[in-house]
Amino acid sequence: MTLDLTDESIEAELNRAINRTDFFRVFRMLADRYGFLSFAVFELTGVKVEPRLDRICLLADFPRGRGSLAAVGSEESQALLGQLAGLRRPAIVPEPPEALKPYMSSHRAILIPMTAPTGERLVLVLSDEKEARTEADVAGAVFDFLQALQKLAVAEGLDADAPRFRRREIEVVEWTAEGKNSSEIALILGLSEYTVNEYISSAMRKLDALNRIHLVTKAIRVGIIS
Amino acid sequence: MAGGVDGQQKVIDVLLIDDDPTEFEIIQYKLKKVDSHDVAVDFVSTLDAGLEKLAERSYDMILIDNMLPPHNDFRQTVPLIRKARYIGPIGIISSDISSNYFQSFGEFGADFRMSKQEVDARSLRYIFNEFTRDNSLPFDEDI
Repeated sequence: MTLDLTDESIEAELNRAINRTDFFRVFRMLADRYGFLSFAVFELTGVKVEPRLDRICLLADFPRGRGSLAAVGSEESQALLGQLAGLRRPAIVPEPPEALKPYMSSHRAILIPMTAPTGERLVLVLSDEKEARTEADVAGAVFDFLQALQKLAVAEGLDADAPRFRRREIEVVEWTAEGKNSSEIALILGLSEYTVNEYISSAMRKLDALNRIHLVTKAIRVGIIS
Repeated sequence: MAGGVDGQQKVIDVLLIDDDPTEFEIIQYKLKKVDSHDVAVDFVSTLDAGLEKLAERSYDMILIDNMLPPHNDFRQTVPLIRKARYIGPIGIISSDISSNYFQSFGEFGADFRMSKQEVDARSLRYIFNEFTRDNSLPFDEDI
């Protein structure tokens, strides 16, 4: 059984995409279609004084996943963020950025930045080993991946200045305010602990909260929960 | 995370619930190509048998076929697994995930959906990386 990588099929999957695993599936389809080895998407928002790449990486097709980026040192992380933040248009670079070399063993990389309506940015890094690519091939890939990045930005709530909260995010914040931990909330709501943590983390990002206590305080202050 | 404290990989225990035993063979074959994780799969062909397994031991992840007779689809089966107090990740695997009702998979307690055509070493690696990592630590460590 082979995967259907036609325009129609990929567009349909993109329109149906809800969570990050759905977007991984779409990015993976596009990567297969254009023959890229691997990819990673970084969100250049909420970057703290000491950036942690694993925290700002939304998707990664690495052997050990995005969590393995925690091993990247502070200086290398800063250098990567500087390089990505300075991008104004897609760029083909002769090798992957230094910080990503252990994760992307290719000769070349393509960097695609996308600015959301809020001014916040996503950057896609594609690992490329094809000997030669026509301009049309690169243009096609950039166009398709930009569409996917735009949809991902909407799904991540980066399309509006005032963050929108999903019903589940509010429920999870309410239970957090009641003193429940993730596994207790998972049992109450009939979800996995993983998904509860994802809701907490997305609510924290939307409110720019540093920890769960800060999340609850801010959620009450802005009226998301009472 | 998959890495153990002394460098040993933790085995990821997966429960596959599918009424077609061939799927077990296929997934076992695909898992052989996943070199990033050690994975052990238990197979059962009915939801009731799956619930019995869950009562006996713990699993890191459940992969469940969408159509499991006598149940209609995941909207009936996944809530029953959650009712059994399972809070690990659940993925729905189906030949066709394009029906509209799949859009509500999160509401019924599932974590992801994937077509059987998509399940290969690369997808499995992503799923194991993503859903077996400890994503509770970032943020709380800032307290």
